[in-house]
Amino acid sequence: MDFSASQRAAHAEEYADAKILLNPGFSSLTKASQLIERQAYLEEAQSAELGCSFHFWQSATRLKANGTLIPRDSTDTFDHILHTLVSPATSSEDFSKNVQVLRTDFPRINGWLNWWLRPNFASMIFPACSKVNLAVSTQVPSTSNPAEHSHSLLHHAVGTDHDVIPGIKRLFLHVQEIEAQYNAIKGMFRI
Amino acid sequence: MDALDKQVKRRPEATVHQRRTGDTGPDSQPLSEISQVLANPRAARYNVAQSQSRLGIETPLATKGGLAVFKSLAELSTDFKGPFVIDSSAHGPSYLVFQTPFMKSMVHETVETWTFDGTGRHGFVTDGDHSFFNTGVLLITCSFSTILQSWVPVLYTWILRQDIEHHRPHFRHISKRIVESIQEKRLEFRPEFFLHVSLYKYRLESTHIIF
Repeated sequence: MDFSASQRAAHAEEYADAKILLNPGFSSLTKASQLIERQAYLEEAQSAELGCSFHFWQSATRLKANGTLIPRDSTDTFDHILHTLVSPATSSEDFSKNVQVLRTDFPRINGWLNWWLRPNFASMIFPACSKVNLAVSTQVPSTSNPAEHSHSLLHHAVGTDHDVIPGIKRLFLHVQEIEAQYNAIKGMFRI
Repeated sequence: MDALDKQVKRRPEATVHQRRTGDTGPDSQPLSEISQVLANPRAARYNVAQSQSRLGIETPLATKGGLAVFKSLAELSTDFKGPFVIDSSAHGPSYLVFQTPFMKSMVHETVETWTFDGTGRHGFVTDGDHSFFNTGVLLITCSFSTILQSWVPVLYTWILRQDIEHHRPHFRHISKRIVESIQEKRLEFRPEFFLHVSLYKYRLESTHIIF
């Protein structure tokens, strides 16, 4: 199992457990009903999962670089179809039609397409398949860049390739520095 | 002993070999100039370790023996004067979870902003850092701080492997904080409180199998 699938599944499992915690009546259900209820929560977790669109496009760009997968004279068509797939304005019907065109015109990328179309993943990248409320999806980042930027700041501040204990101490120093910045700004507001 | 301590203090990160050689910076003194005994690599290693211990300089885990990590972990909360390592498991899944009270408060702030703030910078963003520790992956989840006007880490988890069981403790701790916020503020449940943006990456290196 790749890390993307592991991460998504772990989030869904913990989402389901959190919903159980918030449901006081759960323990009074029969075992069979609890299983059905938990399965519903696992599916509902998709309404709180989004993927990084940047990595989708990065992956598509790599395909385009390989002329045997995407013929050079068809890259514009390929791009156009992908933009349609990720557009919030695309209906489910149009989405299906465009997927079919991709399968017919670019048969060598079926493996790639199947990976992104796995129901749990498709809902995170393609708005037509998404379980996330459209209004909500416009209020969150479309990429994981904020976390990647955070890695860069951490590396810049305290370095990389640490053993466990020295690494934990440096991680703590980094967090302390962020907290000090936060307190300094909050203090200025008080003045 | 003073001369050796001075050299160790001068460049805490240098290897014993580098100390034996000396460098071009001011006040550098090759160890053999301090004492001929220290020209011997084995004696130099022993005496430098003794000096690091006297000076309270951390040494790589490998030189302390594997079990020393448990002792060091147990002492960390005293060193930090507060919680940071909030959960751990060694026997599998192997993980260490890190969060300060400040980071915890950022989770509460993130949940709360959904109820009144329309800035468009909500939710959690999660990704793995493969180079911070020399083994395993450091998972990081960030949320947007309206005070700092930037994304800040709210939870770190070191995991040895990248399967579901290793990822679960990270999401468990975030979910627990979110549930606490919902209960404390008596908020009506909304799935977006738990919204995570994550990196989903198709591995092209496996294309020979998939295409």
